[in-house]
Amino acid sequence: MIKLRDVTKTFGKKEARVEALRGINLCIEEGELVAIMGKSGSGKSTLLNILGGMMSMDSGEYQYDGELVNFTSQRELTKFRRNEVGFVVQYFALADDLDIFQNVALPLKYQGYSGKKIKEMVMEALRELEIEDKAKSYPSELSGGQQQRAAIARAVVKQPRLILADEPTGALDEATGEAVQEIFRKLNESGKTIIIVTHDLKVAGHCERIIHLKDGMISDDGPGDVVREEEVIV
Amino acid sequence: MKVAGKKIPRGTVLLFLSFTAISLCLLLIVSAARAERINDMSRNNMYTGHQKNFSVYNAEEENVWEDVIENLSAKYDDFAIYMPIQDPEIVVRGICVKGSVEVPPMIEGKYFDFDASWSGTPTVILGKDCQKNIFEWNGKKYCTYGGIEFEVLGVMGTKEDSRINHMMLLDLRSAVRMTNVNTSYVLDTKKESDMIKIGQELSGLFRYSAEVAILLDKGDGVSPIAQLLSSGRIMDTMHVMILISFSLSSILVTFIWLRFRRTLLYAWQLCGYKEYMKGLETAKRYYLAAGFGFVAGLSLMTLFSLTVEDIQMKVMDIVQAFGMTVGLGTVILLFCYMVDRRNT
Amino acid sequence: MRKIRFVLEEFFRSFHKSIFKNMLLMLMFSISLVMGVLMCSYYLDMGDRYKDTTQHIGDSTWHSLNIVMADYESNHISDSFTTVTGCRNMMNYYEELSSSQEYPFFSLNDAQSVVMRDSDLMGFFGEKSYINFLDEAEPVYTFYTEDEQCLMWWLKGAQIDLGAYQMFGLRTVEGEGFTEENMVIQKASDAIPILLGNDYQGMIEVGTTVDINCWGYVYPCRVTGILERGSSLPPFGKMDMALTSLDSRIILPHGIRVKEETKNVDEIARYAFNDYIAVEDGIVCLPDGVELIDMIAAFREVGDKYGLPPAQIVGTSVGMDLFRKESDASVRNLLILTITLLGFAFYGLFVTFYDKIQSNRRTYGIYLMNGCSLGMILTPCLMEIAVILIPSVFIGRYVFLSADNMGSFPVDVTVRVVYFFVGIAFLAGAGFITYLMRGVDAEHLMRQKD
Repeated sequence: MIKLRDVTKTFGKKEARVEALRGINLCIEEGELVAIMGKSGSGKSTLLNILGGMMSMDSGEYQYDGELVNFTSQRELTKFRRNEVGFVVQYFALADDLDIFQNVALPLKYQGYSGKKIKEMVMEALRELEIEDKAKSYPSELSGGQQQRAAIARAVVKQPRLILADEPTGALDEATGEAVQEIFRKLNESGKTIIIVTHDLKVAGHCERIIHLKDGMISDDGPGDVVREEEVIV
Repeated sequence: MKVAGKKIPRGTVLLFLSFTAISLCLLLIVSAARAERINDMSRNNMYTGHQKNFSVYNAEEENVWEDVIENLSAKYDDFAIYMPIQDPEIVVRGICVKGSVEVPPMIEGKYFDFDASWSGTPTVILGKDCQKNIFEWNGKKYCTYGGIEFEVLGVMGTKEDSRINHMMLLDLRSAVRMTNVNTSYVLDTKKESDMIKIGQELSGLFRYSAEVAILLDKGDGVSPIAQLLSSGRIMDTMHVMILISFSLSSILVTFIWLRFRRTLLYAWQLCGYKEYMKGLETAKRYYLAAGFGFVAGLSLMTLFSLTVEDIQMKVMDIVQAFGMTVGLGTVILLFCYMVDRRNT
Repeated sequence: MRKIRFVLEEFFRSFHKSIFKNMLLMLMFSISLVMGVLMCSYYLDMGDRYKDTTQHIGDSTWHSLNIVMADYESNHISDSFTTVTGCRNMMNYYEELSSSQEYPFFSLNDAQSVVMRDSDLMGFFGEKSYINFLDEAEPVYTFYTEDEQCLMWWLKGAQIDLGAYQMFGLRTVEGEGFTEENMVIQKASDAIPILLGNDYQGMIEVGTTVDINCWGYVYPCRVTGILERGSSLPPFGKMDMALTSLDSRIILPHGIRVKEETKNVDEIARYAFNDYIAVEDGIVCLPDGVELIDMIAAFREVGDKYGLPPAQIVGTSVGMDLFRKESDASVRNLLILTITLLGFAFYGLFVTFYDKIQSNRRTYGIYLMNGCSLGMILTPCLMEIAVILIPSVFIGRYVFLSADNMGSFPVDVTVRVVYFFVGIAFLAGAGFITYLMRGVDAEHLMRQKD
């Protein structure tokens, strides 16, 4: 499904130049549940943003379903993100002045759906995440776990094939984090490809594959039950 | 903050207050400017205020104006030449106008254009209270003055008593024929900046056929700021300063408002919104707040006009103010949005 | 030294980061300040009135008047002298002003030159010497009227109305002075009364007639009386200045009333113009217990009634002078808008600095953690507020110095008010910042969520 070849990304200039990614080569099949781990500054979030079309790469190739993703065209990137990808971020990115229903409905606007269809899809997503009773509440009225569920609902409402999550449990307590992880597992069982950036061993442990990044390169890529202790982030 | 169960986004109240102030200010300015224009016109006896007197001497022929007007009108627009005629009761002038200089409020018919004011046919515009001797013939109105029959092109006037109601404007050819070409005239232009060049041109055109004495000073050294702060212009200056200041504060408020929208913008980006969709959504929210602000400003202005006699608002004022508010709001939003997107 | 360097670096960093907002605030404060000062000048007595221009005659305070010359030059009132109705309008305007019971009025010009044609001068003086009566030693060949050029002589003169004649106790030794009867002429072509200074006694007889040109208009005149020796007038009504002797002067009247209606514009225009000049030479009394602003409003009403510029009262504040043509309602609206504007400007300042402190709180927390004092964090903020307000001072100075192009108000007072306003704004801003930063500690700053 996803193929990266010799992907590099650099930030800054001259003495402040940082090579966030150095020749990443990666293949992810459809339906995989993948964790990307690494120390702070190893390039995890950069890799995730490139995978989601949120950031362009300096060189290399990104193939999605056998087709090259064109980073030079903002229009195509936006289309790719709109149709193929669902994003979940650490601090939820929910609009404070929209209620949960409106937040979850955001991806469906401008897609040509009727109001009735949108309502149907949103309520379905909320039901799936078990927060349908919170549809009229505002994000500030919900707990962290509920907000993250809402964010996940927004990511899945348009039924994307690929879900990218950047530290989804970072702002949550352990119990809530486990609940969220369970949600990802269920979504994966339904056929979605999920890539999670995390430094949480427990979260990574639930994934079937763990990719380790070190200094912008893949240092390890193996099954999820093997976790290296030295990769734990302080 | 919630209103009727709906949460009011942060920064929106500020935006609403900003646009209430802007629209109130615009409504006040537009209605005051309209009233002032008519008052000024009347007080200035239909001169712009920067008109210049001049005299023609030693012209031997009446038709000395033919070439002058032909040359002047070929080169310039928006000027008028008046010839005051002595009358014991009313203000009578001959006029030749090209373009528009000071157009009075017309009750009937139309005002002079170049052809009508420089035609072979004697024509007149009467003030509202000068219609005593009008008669109709062949579907047109006429009146006699100084032994000449003039076709009445239109009637000008204001509801309240003003000097315009007691004025009579004749076409310049007829006025010259009635009196003498060697007399005093007044040159007026729409823009003050045109006065000197048209005045000099006029003076040059008369060189061989007559003499013209026209004083064209470039001003008496009063600084632009002093002119803007003179008692004749202070209100206009103040209104403009207020408008500029409210616009600046709206820019500040819009930046703050956009900052509070960043999470929403990020959410749209995550959801794959195109740029125009993000812009459209932002604009919708902005115009909604601005729209409510305009309505609040209009309500306040309506209250003022009902309680204060001096303030009168007409439908045209509201339309103009609305257009200006929308225009100003659009410019501010575009500017702030582009700067904000560049910085984030 | 290191502390100063730190403060300066922090100031430049912070200022540069929000330079655009700071510039907006500078402009907003500059505009608000100018408007605020003008409004205060209009409504409050800030001391920016020229008390020196007022005269004290007896127990009363008197102000000079003007009809601003710029208006005349732009023909604002030109039709007042080209039609009979315009002339009558001007004369009625003067009459209403000068006969006001509420605001006593007189007109006086102690040094008004008068002009005679060479032939009239010869006829007037005959064989007698006229050197002492000349204002200009040599005659000039110029236009006497629009159509007539001739040799003309300038003589010393003065011009007063009946009110001034009575107020300054002038008396005649021959004939009669100005009276209510002789100041009214039946026809516009009748001769007007003139008085002569005592030096003319024995030279010119009472009853002598002569044509005199004043301000470009020719007046047929008849000598009504000769004044006592030592008759004098205070220049511009100023009692504290050396009196102007009238002994060698010809005294023309202001305020001639013409009974008969005439259709001849040329005849009536000279009296209308004389009345216009009488307003220019006018001095009006501000009664006790009456505010100057009320007198300005009364004069504005008279101006509006006759469609003429309201007479400018000399010695008012800059605000009263600038807004003298505006109605109370218009100025009140402006006041509301100014207060709103000031509110927005201060709100903008507070919000900007609140935002700045919020977004920099981690940075400040780090500074505090590393031994920086709160004062060292506060000082750059205060400097930034000062820098935002400083342009207001320069702009305010420039605006008010430019506005005072005729030296019509004590600009130093107004500029001091500008400083005062800026000082208040600075204290308000500083107080707000200090309030925001009170009781702050590193942990508190670091722990705050985004």
